Amino acid sequence: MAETDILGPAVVEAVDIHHHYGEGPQRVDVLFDINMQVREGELVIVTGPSGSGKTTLLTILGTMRKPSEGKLQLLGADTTGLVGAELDALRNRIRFLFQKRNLLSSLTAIQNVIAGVSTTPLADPDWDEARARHLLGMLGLGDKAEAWPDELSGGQQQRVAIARVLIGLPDLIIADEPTSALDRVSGRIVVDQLKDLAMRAKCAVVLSTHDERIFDVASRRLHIEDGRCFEVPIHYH
Amino acid sequence: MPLGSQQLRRQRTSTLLSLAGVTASLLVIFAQLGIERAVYDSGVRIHRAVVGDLVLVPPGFKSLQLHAEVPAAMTDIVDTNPAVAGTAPFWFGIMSMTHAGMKASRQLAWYAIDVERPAIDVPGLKENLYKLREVRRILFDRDSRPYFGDLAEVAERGEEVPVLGPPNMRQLLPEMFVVGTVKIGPNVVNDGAVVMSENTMTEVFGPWWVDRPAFITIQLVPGVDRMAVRDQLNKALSGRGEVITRSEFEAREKEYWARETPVGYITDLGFVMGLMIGMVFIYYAQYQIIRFYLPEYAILKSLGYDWWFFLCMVGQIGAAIITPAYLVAFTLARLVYGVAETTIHLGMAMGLREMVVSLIASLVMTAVSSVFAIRRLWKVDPIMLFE
Repeated sequence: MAETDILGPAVVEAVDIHHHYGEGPQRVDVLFDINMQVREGELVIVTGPSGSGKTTLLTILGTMRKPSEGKLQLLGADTTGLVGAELDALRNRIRFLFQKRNLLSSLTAIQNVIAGVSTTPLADPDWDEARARHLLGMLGLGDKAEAWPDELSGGQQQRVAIARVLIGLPDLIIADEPTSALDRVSGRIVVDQLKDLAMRAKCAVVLSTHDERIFDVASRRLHIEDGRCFEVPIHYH
Repeated sequence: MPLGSQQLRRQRTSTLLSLAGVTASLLVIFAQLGIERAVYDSGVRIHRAVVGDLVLVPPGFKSLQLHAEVPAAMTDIVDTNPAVAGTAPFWFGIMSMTHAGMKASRQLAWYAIDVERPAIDVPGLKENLYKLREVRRILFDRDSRPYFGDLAEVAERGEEVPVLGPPNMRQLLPEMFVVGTVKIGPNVVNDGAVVMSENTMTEVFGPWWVDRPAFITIQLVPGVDRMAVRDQLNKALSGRGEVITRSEFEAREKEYWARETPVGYITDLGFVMGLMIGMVFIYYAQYQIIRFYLPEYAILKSLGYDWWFFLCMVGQIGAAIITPAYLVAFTLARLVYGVAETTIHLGMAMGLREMVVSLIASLVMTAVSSVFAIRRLWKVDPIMLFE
């Protein structure tokens, strides 16, 4: 059975997205006619050289920026006119994984994971803690629950961040070069576990990277160059 | 999530500096409150000892310390009201006094009463009242400051202690005898006090004082409407005197000290200064933490935490500083009050008012500094984490 057969409905649907910074003579166009779709259970890798518009695209998909033109539909909702509580509710279904500085240094590993659900109004502290421990265990960090971030390696910190992303039961995960600060082995573990757990949770994942060694984990690869996006076939090793 | 307090714990230098600063500012606040209490309370000791339902004072009365007088003839008008059961005059002045156990004379307040109907009731007066019937016999305030030597101790042993009063018109020092003690307490102006009879007052200071009491207390017939009688008497007096209640009498004296002397201004200023210094130190701790952890707040924003969470967190930082600071300042202030009271005898003590007002001041410090500190958090944008 092909992977696309088990994919769910579209989580991200971008139609003719165009984005620019500044106005008048200072105007810089960054993205042109971006059309893309990411479905539930899919991990899409976005590649491209520095300054190609990857980060801008990720921030637009994460509703941190509004596109200058075009239509972005997230989880079935048109984001164009969304503001206030409706936008906050939508954002609560999205989680981010950053290149570095993912953890709160004043909280232990488990407290960092729990921080991913503390915003939920009906949070149950005991249940959250149990889930956090379970997730850390699944990520091989069961014995590091009480460790401070500065006692963890870079790969372990990223895995704690993955646990925090997943505990919030997001529908969409946006990861910005999550392996760039890690060595090959750690990077591989992080991305494999991200894919494994995200697919189990039926999340859609959009991951930007320069790291060719992890391209094979993706369902699809989109390449951005000079603000234009096109799909590139993946060569599995 | 105990984020604020844990961040504070990891920023030891800022935390300790802020703790010291806030403790010092709270101590300043406690000191101001203590001084205020000492000044105001010591200023109304006689007011609180008044026996009677109403008080006849000079028109526009503000303070006993202004030495205004109410003509004794006004009692004739007051007495005609059927609701009035009786009146009692009270005289007040300042004099110097010395005795064999003192190196130099010292100023103190003298209070004169009609021995048959005393206008005040203070501890020790009733049992010693008969002694005042003899002229030139006085009662010494045992709570006076220690400048008067062993006067109180000797008098309490039952001995008559000869003292010299202020010089008369022929520059002779009249002799009086301390025959017992009462308990009143000094105030900011006077180091101590003596109580004497109307007759002694006449003999020592002159007969013209009799017609010039500082105030006259009014005893009403039981069951009458006090406020209605007060209004009737004021109407009858037509501005030649003013009848007020005991609480108004006390309130006016306090109002005078608070509004018309430098004391109120200085203590208010000290209070506000303490409040502002405290705010600055709490803000300093909050600012240092926010500045240091700015990217981490961006992470929290990306997780959907709203302004309410950040306000609580900043408040948590403030509370984590103010709570130990308050406890330390409270303990130190009690010690300071105790040491000060031993010297000044003004009734400086830690009361509910000091505790509540300083607690409210602490809350205001925390709230205001938190509001200022959180403004910096508005600018935090998760987009910065992509850069």
